[in-house]
Amino acid sequence: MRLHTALVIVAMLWTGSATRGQDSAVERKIDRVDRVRQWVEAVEQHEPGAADDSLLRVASWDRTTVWRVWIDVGTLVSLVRDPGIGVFYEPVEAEPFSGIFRAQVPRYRSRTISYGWDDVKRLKVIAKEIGAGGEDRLLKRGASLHADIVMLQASQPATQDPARRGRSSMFMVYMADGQQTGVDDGSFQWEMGRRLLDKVRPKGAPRNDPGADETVRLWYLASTAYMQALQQLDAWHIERAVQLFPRDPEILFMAACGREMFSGPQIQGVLATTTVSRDLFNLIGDEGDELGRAERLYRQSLERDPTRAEARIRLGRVLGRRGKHQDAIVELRRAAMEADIRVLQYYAHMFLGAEATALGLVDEAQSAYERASELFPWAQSPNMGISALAALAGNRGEAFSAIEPVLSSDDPALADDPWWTYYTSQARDLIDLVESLYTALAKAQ
Amino acid sequence: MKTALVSAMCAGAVLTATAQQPIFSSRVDAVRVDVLVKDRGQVVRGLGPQDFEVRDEGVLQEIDLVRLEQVPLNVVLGLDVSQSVNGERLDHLLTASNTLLDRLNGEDRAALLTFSHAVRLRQELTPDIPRVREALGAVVPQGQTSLVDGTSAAIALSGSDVGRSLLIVFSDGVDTSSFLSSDVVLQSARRADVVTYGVAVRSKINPKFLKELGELTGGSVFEIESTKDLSQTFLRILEEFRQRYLLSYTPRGVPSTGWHRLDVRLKGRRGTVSARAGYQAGR
Repeated sequence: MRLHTALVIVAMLWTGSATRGQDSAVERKIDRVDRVRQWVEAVEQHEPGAADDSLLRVASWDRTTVWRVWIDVGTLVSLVRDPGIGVFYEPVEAEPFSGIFRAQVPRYRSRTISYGWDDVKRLKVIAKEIGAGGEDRLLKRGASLHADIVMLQASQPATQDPARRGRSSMFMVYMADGQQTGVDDGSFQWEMGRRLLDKVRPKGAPRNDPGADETVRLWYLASTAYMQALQQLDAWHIERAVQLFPRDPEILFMAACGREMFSGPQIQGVLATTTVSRDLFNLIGDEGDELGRAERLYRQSLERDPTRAEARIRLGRVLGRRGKHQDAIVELRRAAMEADIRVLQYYAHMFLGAEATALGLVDEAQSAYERASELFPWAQSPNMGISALAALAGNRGEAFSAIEPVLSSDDPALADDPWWTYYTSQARDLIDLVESLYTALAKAQ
Repeated sequence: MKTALVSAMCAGAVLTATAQQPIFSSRVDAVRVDVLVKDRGQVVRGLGPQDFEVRDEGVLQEIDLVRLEQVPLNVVLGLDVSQSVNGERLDHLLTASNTLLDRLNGEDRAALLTFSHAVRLRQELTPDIPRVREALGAVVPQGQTSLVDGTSAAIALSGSDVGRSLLIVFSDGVDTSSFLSSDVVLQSARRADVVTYGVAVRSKINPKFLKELGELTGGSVFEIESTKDLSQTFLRILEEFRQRYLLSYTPRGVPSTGWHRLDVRLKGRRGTVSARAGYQAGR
């Protein structure tokens, strides 16, 4: 899987029905059933993780088409679950976005969909083919297909034509080095995946309950890890994940990492300078807000899985950034003992060094930085810490000699520092997470 | 001259190496204070020791004035070469740096340190200015910005037993990747004997760190609209630095450790004085 490094932030913009009525009713009646059949066939034929013809076909559809497919998939699911149903509802966002609207949960109202008799008959045929119980499998495989479109980078370039945008729109602010570098129409594939999964209903359950489904959980874990690995940040995505899985330590951990990313200087720098209205990022708070959210989520994750050393390391860092140095050092001392992966040991000792410095525990700080330096000998940051300790003690010569070797290296490969990838490090198991999702989908055949 | 220029400035420089319990030595206790005097925006020249009044922790000190023409400069360039400093900005930055190097005198030394997410020591302090130019020519902008880390390293680099040290830190954006906290670096800057001038491209983000650093070290911050006139800004800093006064005194009647608040004033003259806010002696 090829990962690109563009830094993207995604904000949701609920735009109302911008394209409603653009196409003729006749065209919609004819096309929409064929289109949803194409979608069902593509979902069935798509091999998870493969850029096959099915994936490429769906990837070529624009936002409006995908949106309409989602509505008709809803109809199909209704027909599978209740073949006698005669009235179909189209969910419509009830409240358009405004600067003061803080949408914690998108709210819908419904209106009926006017299918022709022939359309209903054809839809019933498709529903029958899906079969009772098959709709959940279809929804999950469908969500996986739309995720694959993003992860395999098969998406069509986003349209700049507002007339072609669907009713639910997103935009992306591209960033580099804490500065906005561009604004574009956003990908809708993740949104489609989320909406499909919202309809998952475990067998025998009286209502939709995607939070009870393991494959849905894996989908959110893999997609969140993917977004964080590429720094394509979508606040709503992680909020929805936590809504569905409020007691899952892995989901809580990834959500906390997302919040910690939002608190970081790259995101906050862009929010301070973006040309896009700050109100549109209403799901992202300021640094203090986001650190608070991250702390809560890390704590919740640790309550459910106290052995998660990485959560403890990050909790320690967040506490330190919030000025709670005494609490931070307690967590970091423990994490430094428990961390069993080299990069995690490195982070634990680095943050321990920083907190010990803040508390004036010079020996402990020195020792922690030296241990981090042993783990990654050419990393700059441990030497920066040691140099700062010497400078604080007024030892000018040592302040310089501590950093001179690592700053003078001409070999960039030798200068690799895990600190530079801290904000994406939690997603280092992305491939495994995606494989787990594919395995779960395969088992559901 | 009472105070040898090779002395390590503020008392902190004579701490022994035991980091946990630094000990203040009374062997060397000269304090130098680099001072800029302006009146209605214009640098005031030609002042003598009789024109200044220095209070260390509120205690009036007997001062001496060092003749600046005898003191070579150590000019350290700490330059942001992150991704955002690309194209025209880089051209302006290189031109400005070379223009500044052109104006250095025979005894002066220069050094170059760059920072993106990585901090790179391109050239240590050297009187061999062409080597600094050569190092400048090898700069390729990329990555994020570690302003605080870069500044910390530049301060460490600028320490010298000879001459007066000027650190010019240029950055065009927000710090996105430093490991060190600004508090730690500002605290250590109190012990350093370097006057820091920040040059920041004006944006919605307040260059708070550079401002505080300037205030602590007796320098200042220039916020520029664009890098087009960066050469003029660098030259203005150099010129201003050359026109400063170097006051020296042996502390009397004050504790030998801790933070010493400095108050430098003019006697019987109008003008504003820029000097470091204090110095750290021992712990």
